[in-house]
Parts: sequence; C-alpha cells; structure tokens
Amino acid sequence: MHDDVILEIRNVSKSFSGVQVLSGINMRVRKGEVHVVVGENGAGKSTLMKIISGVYQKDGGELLFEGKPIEVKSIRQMQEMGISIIHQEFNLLPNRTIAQNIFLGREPVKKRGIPVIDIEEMNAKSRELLGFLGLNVDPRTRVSSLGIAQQQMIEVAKALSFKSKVLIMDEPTATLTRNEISKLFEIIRKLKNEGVSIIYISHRLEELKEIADTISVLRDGALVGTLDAKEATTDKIIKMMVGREITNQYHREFCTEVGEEVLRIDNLSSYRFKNVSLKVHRGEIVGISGLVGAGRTELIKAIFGFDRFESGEVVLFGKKYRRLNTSMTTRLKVGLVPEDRKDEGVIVEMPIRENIVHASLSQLFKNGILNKKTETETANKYVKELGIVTNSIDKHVMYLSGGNQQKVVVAKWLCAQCDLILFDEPTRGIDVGAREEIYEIMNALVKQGKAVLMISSDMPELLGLCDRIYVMKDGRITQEFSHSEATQEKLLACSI
Amino acid sequence: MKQKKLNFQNREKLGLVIGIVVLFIIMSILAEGFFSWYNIHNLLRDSSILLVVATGMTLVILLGKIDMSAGSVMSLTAIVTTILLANGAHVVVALLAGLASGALIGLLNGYLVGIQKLDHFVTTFATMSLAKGLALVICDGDIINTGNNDFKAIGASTSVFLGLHVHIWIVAAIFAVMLFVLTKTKFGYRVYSIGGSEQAAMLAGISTRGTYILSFLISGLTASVGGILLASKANNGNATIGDGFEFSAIATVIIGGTPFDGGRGGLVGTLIGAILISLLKNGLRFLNITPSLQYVIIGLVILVVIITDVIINERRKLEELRRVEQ
Repeated sequence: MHDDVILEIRNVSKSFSGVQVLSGINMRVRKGEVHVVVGENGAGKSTLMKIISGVYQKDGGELLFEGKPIEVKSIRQMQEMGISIIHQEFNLLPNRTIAQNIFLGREPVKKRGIPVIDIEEMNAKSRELLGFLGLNVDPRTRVSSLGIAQQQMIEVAKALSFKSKVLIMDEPTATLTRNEISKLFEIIRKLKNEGVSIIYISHRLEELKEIADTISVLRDGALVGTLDAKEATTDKIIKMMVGREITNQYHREFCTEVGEEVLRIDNLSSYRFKNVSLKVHRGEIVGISGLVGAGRTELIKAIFGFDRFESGEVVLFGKKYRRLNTSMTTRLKVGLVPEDRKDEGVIVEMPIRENIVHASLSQLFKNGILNKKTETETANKYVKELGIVTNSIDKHVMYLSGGNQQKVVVAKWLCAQCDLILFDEPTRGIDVGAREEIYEIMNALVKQGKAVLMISSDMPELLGLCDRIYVMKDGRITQEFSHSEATQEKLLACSI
Repeated sequence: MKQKKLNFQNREKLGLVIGIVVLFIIMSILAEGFFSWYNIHNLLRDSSILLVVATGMTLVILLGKIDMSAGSVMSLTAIVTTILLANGAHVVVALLAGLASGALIGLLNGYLVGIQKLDHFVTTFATMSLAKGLALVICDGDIINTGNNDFKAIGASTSVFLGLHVHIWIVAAIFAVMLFVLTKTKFGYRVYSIGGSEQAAMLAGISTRGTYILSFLISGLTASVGGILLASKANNGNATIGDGFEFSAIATVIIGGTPFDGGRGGLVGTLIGAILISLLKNGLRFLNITPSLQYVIIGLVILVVIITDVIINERRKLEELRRVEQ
C-alpha cells in the first residue's frame, strides 16, 4: 500500500494573523486515485490546497512527494515537479487565445536565431491537449468567446501541459451545469486511467459518489477522518462535517407574534439567482442559509439596490419597486452590513465619527451645512450604545478590531434610523466576544420592532438566532424552515 | 482552418480605417491643397513623431499603467542633445546622451512602479515635472541653436530617402521592431499577460518586475527619439518642445483601441490612431479651423471611440452571460 502513495501531508498547520486555520493535517494521496476533500465553508480546504500548490507557505509540518520530503517555494516549482492546481476562480486572460493561456509564462521559443515564440508549436501542442480532453475548438480562439465549462477545460489543459502527476481541483463544478459536470467527470476518469492523482474539493456530496475513491473530511481546520468512498454514506459525511455541539450564546427570545411586513420579494431574478420569493416582518430575524456561491450575497445586494435585478419585484414597506438603487433604499430606511467590511462597510481612512454619520447627513443636517457638535454628540451616543471600544471617536476605523469595525457599520445604519437591516455574514472574522455583542444588538433591534434579514454560513448562528430560515442552492430557494423545524442536518441537506 | 471571423476588436479597427478613408476623401474635396503629395508627406512626417512616442506609451498602457513623463522627456532630450551640439560635441555623442537622458527617466519610472510598487500615475507625474525642470535648468530657459549641420540634416525637409523623409524611415524601423517584440517574443507576451490580469500572470509564475522596468525604459527611449526628431525639425532646442505631447500620445493609444485597463489592443491600433489624429489636425488646419477648435474636435473623437468601445464590451459581456445561462 505504502509505495503507491504519491503525496503525503504530515502534520501541516497554518495560521493567518494569529488565527489558526489548519492544525496538524495528515493526508495520503495514492497514485491514480480521486481523493475528495469535503468540509463546510471555512473548514480550511482551500488553504490546504494552496499550501500544497505553493501559493501559501505552511507554518509547520511536512510534505512528501513520491516519498521524498519537499520544500515548497513557488508555484512554478510545484508545477514543474508535477503538482498543479485549478483555482476556484479562473486565472485565464480573456483577451488572449487558448494556446496563449495554456502556455502562459512558459511559451515555447524557437531554438535557432532570435528567441521568437514558436506559435506553431504552441498551437500544435494545445490542439493535442484539447484533443485529449475531447474539446473541439481551435487553440487560436480567444478565451472570452468560450463558455464557462470550456474555460474550465482550458484550465485543465493548462494543468495537464505540465505533465501533472497530482492535479488539484478546487470546487470545479461550482459554475457548471449537469451536462458539463458529467463531461468533466469523464475527463477525470480518463486522467485517473493515465495514473494522474486528483485531489478534488467539493461540498456537493451528491456528486462525490460518482468519482471519489477516498474521502477526507475537514472541520474547523482539522482532519476529522478519511473514509473509503465505498463505505461512506451521505449521512455519515454530513455528521462528520457538522460534528460540533451547538452551545447557546444567542439568548434569543423567538418572536411569537410577527409585526407588519417590511420586505417581500416576488419572483426576483438576475443572472445569479432565479425566481426568489421571500418575506420579512417587523420583529423577525430571518436567515438565508446556503453554500458560498449559491447567490445569497447577490440576492441581498439586489434587495439593497446595489446590483440590478432583471425581473420580479421588491415590496418595501408596502410599496412595489421594479427598480432600486441604494439612495432609494437608504431613504426608505434599509441598511446593508456587507460581507466585505473593509471595502464596502466602513471607510477605513475616515474616523469613527464620520463613519457613523455619513449615511444620515441629510437627516442630521437639515440645512445642508455640517455641524461638528451634532456630529460628535451623535457619534458618541452610538459608540456608547453599541459598546464600541475606542479611546476617541476621532480614531480612524482602520485601527479598530474586526468586531468594533462591524459595530461601526451597524451604528451607521442605526444612526440612519433603519427599520430593515440586511446582514451579510455578520460575524465573519470576528472573535467570540464581539460575536455575542453583535447578536445582542440584533436581538435588541428586533425587540424594538425593526427587522433583520441575514446571510450566514455559520449554521449554529442561523439556528440560534433566526425565527425563520430560507435555504438557497444554485440561485434558488429550496426550502423554508421555521425555527422549530430547522436542524443543521436539514439545512445542509437542502443546500448540497 | 484558415477561416477567421472578424472579432470585435478587428471590427473596431476596421471602423477606424473606414473613418480615416472617409475623412481623407472629405478633406480632399473640401480643402484646397490638401490632396497633394507635399501635404500628405507632411502629414506622414507629423504622424511619425506622434507614432514613435505613442509606441512606447502603448506598452505602458497595455500593462494597465500610464507614462505622464513622456512629453517632458522629449523636452529634456531635446535640450541635452542641442546643448551638447552647441558646445561642439560630436553629433553621435549628443544623440546618445539625449537618448540616455530619456532612458534614465524611464528606468526611474520602471524602478519606482515595478519594484517599489508606487502608484504609476503619481510617479510619472513627478518625473514629468522632474524632467521638465531639469531641461529648464540646463538651458536656463533659452532656445538653443546648435549650429551643427549633421543635426540639421536629420530634420531638414530635403532629407528624403526613397521618396520618404528620414524621420518616417527612423520611426518605421522602430515601429517594426517593437511590433515584432510585442507579438513574437516572451517579453511581449508578458506585457499582455500582466496587463490582462496581474494575478493570473503571477500565479503562472511570471515575475512582473522586469516587464515593468523594460516597458517604462522603452517608453522613455521612444519619447527621447520623439524629442530628437522634433528638435531636429526645428533645428533648435527648447524646454517646452514636448509640452502636452504625452496627452497626444495617450489619445493616440486610446483611439487605437488599447484601453486604460490594459491587456488588449496593440501597436497596429496605435498606428491607425496616429494617422487619424494627424489627419484630423492637418485637415482642420486646411479648413482654417483654429487650433482651439481642433482640441474640441479631437476631444470629441476620443469620446466617440471610447463610447463605442464601452458599447461593444457591454454587448460582448451580455453575450457571454447568455452563453453561461443557456
């Protein structure tokens, strides 16, 4: 058994700015197998793969390739050794041809005379690779004129052109249709027969059965276990993925009597989500569960008027809208606490004071002239109310911790007197103490008769906080649960 | 296999060429004296100076950057070259020194942007002032007459070889070399890759530093050549000779279909852009339209080209989205 192990991961760990994202991972990949790695969002799958492929450096542990310990220094070194990765986001140049993309950075050069790029050879070799993958396109075609599935194949071709022995695919099917997926699987089988090992990351359990030989489950940066695919059942995998006990840090009194409806959307569609309908009432916290890429963020941004939607309508506070923009929604007293806090939530270069008031300038300063005294009083009020830890309201937001930054974002919307606040991953990257405070704030909001719609990938959080939970998958709502019906297993089962 | 569809970019270029032809015909009919070899030759000569500066600028813009210092580098080169000639230096020495001054500014830009990762706009804005200031200090604000016949011979209108002015030949040679470099060598490929997506390039193991430095160096050198040509045409050195020229060069590149975010377009478009701008300026002069109004018209042309580009891109994106949904 041992001699056909091609890649061994021994005790690998990694932390980012003090947060441990991987701890003591051990894994063995055999020659010519499809080794599937599953885990919830944030379990550390992608980080592990980036370490293997040379994008990140590990903090501790060892990697053994073909029995010999290796020191990973660069992506190029790993590629030449025979380990390539296909990242979740494609890294193709849309304005260049297929051949130019496949040979990016290592174009063949004519041996004689001036070092001219040998375009004929590049095209010929690319044609060969495309032929092997069963792709009938001219290698001189621009990548931008290809569909997503074909672009995926170009990434595969690129990886193969290194004569890879280990090919890592990070959620390759996330953007593919059924048909395209089965084509990809055909190719994976073909590669397997050629002796290529494939590390396949996914959180779509249904598709694993078709291709997996071995399944490793990660949770919270640690390996929970490795199973033979034959003995793995979906239930077993889900249990391993979820694992932990729900501790009660939420202190939520669920609402017994809902207030009036503040938000209703009917058959809302855009290119990232389809026919979504949902409702939110005063006094309610409503959650949206689902996997990364299910279209949740896009949906919430469309409700906020940040992204356009193509059809359907949004009813806010009883009025119908077919088109929204952010200045309309903020005037209607809707606020968004976005996932990307640093770029979209706060203005890091501005002090707390200005961050808090800048969404409500016309409310605070009716005559259009700023008044520092009002500004200071208002900001102080919210800093105290939300317990933002700082020695001065003139401190720039970039110097605050994640939790305090998040409170500033919330303060901004409270200051604007919002009645509906949309939260996108409200506690991501926030330490436990501050998390609880955020939960308290949300609790207090709905007690005052306001409404909250939140997205979270943290299922215990949704279960602990929400009166109702919608589950989204591939841009559609698959199920709605009341607080009493919902369990982690049910949520996960509807989202994969 | 030879069937090649006219893709969006080629269609855009075709539009420009048609524009040039139409404009040429209109001018020939409306403006007396426009349609003569003398004038067309002049037009080509004007466009050659613009083209050479825009050639280096194309590389920088393909990388998604910009070189604001090009005009000042022209002035600096003109001053360095002419002051050496005025002090009796050999013409070859003077020309090399002029080119070296442009190379230095180019290297400085490349170092600051490529290695120190400073903002390209601010950096080249600073070196723009630096180069112009140096030129003014060196010449003390005076116009420098060289009194050198060899130098005068480069720019004299009688310096014609095989029917075309020497300037045109020089620029044609530089352009041909750069076209070759950009389309056939690794360096050229890297320029496109980094401009298309620096992340993708880096994940493919490409080191970006060398490409940035070389591109800015080339931009400095081509600006220097432009400065030398302009000075030889005037047969004197003047610290304001290249003032504002960077804007014309940038306009040329943009009109030629290389957008500010880089990664697509190229030198063929720049050639078309240079001819279009020179044709406009030349023709408008013939129609007795004042230089002030010429600015307005060129501004409008740039807007039209950019708007078309946006529309075409939007359509392309929609088409891609539809393909994804299918």
